[in-house]
Amino acid sequence: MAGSILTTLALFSLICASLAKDHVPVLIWNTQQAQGGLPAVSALQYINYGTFQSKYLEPFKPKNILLFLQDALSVEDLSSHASELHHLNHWMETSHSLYLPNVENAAHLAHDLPSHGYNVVVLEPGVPSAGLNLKQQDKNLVVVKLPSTITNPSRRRALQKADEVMENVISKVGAQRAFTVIFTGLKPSVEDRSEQYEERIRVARSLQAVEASPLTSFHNSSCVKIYLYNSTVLTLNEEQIVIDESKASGGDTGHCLNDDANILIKYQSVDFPSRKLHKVQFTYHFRKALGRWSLTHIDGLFDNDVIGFMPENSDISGIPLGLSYACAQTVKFGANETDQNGTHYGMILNGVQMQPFSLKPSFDDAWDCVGFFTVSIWMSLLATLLMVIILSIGMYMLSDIKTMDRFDDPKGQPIMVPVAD
Amino acid sequence: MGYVRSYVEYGFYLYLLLLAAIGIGYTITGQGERIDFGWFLSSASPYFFGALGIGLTVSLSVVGAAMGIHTTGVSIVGGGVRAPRIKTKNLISVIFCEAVAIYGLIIAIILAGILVEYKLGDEGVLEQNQLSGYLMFAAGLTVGFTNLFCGLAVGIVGSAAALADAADGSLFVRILIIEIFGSAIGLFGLIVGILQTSKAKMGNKT
Repeated sequence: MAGSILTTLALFSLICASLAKDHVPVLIWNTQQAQGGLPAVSALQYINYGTFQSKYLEPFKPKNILLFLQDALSVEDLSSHASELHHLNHWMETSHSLYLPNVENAAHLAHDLPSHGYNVVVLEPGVPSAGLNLKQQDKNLVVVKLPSTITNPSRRRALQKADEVMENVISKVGAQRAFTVIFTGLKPSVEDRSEQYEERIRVARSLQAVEASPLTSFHNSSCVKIYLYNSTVLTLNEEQIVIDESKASGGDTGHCLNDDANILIKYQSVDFPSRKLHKVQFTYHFRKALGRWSLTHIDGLFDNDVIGFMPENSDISGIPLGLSYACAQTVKFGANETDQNGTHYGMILNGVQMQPFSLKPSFDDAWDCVGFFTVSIWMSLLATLLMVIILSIGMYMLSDIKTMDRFDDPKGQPIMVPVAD
Repeated sequence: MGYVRSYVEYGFYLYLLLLAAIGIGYTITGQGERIDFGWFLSSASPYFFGALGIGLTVSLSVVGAAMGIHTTGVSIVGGGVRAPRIKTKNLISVIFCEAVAIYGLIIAIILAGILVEYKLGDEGVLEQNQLSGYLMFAAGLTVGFTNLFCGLAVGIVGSAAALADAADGSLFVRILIIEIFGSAIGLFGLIVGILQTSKAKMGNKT
């Protein structure tokens, strides 16, 4: 109980944190210090500025800080352009380094540190750094603004240039003092929920962190639930059209009464090459009896004609109440009657899961259309059993054969067979 | 060869264990409803039941006849060594056993004629064919098992008849009556089998 509350609070705080401000990665390293002894950072942690400064920057005991500020930096840049940033990788690997993937408002460092007694020197791109004057006793902060990357159409080249500039500056300036180098950005280069972001991140993320697209293929009303894996396919004579689920006018209605239940699913319009149907509605009828339910038929309303569909290949019946029917195969429905114009309709569901007579918001355990042992397997098992029984009786009788021992004489002479020369 | 018997027994127990494991597996995973004999009986193909019926008819009858002739034949031949007069008279026991096999053969031929392919079309075709399948299977069991035990019975009685005849010639006619009663039970099986097959009709027409 307490555990679940804590988990929800933690998730909630993460969500709030993620929605609040932009986060940028921060890389800190110091070549003069020994590796190790740094607090662990998890990839999901969102670190605010205060924690960053007190908990993560302090262990470096930075006297002289060299701060590289890029206009835009994200975790994606560091991972996908790792070969362009090879100097950076080298420094991170060989020195006392720390990588913080999500820090809020990291660039505030440039404004905050002077209040902690740091002398600030700002190096612009293009300005020679030869005349840098750093006082020995003081704490110095050198801020280097890296060349603009947003305006550069090739991200790869922009990062390569940034890497070169960093290498340049560090080789010239870094020798003067034992610098703690920080590399960060003013804002993230890949915005959350932008197209690039969506493309690259893995699908494994919490459902609450991403706004769920409305599932139009899940139809739910009172006590009937239907979920279509792929859309319904409607055939008219020989033409086949996939009914676009986005055209489903929501508000599926249905009712359950005693032993019958139904659900009505409406679609706005379906365009066939030969004609356009303005109104397409399907009513699924279910019936329950003796603890089992079945789909009796589906009524399709096409403009003004009502056609009854019956399942053709797999029989949706005899499913115990409290279980949903799930089928990943194609379920075909055929109609006996035709409409006024004499057109034959057919309906195909490529994968469906349905459950009537249940008030729960989600599906119960699935009763699959294909069982583990099919009928054929049982038939062959029984036929084989019969043959095995016959074989075993035969073997039993064979093993029971006794040789005639009436004329055996244990004390008698053994038979001598003369060996012919 | 004594160890073969134990292997056979163990094989049988292993098969039962496999069935039990399947049953437990279904029950534990909450799929107890899948252990459904009704589903099997209604979904299994009528061809399966029909063909099995034909096979069982003739094979079980012949097994009964064979065991009967085995028992009788050995006794006749053995008794005939010392009393050759019994040879011809006692062949009638063998004929009774053979008749049992013929009953099975007749029914099997009739059933084989009934087993025809069908195609689902009109209503009632499936039911008709399923009925025929079940009837053929049942006829196979009926005729097969009755003839099996009839053959066994007639065989043992025939063997005793041969030995008794070898000892005392007047006994044979009395013992023949016992054999006739024994043979009648095979006939009962045949009659019931005929009744069952008369209703069996496979095909596309209802």
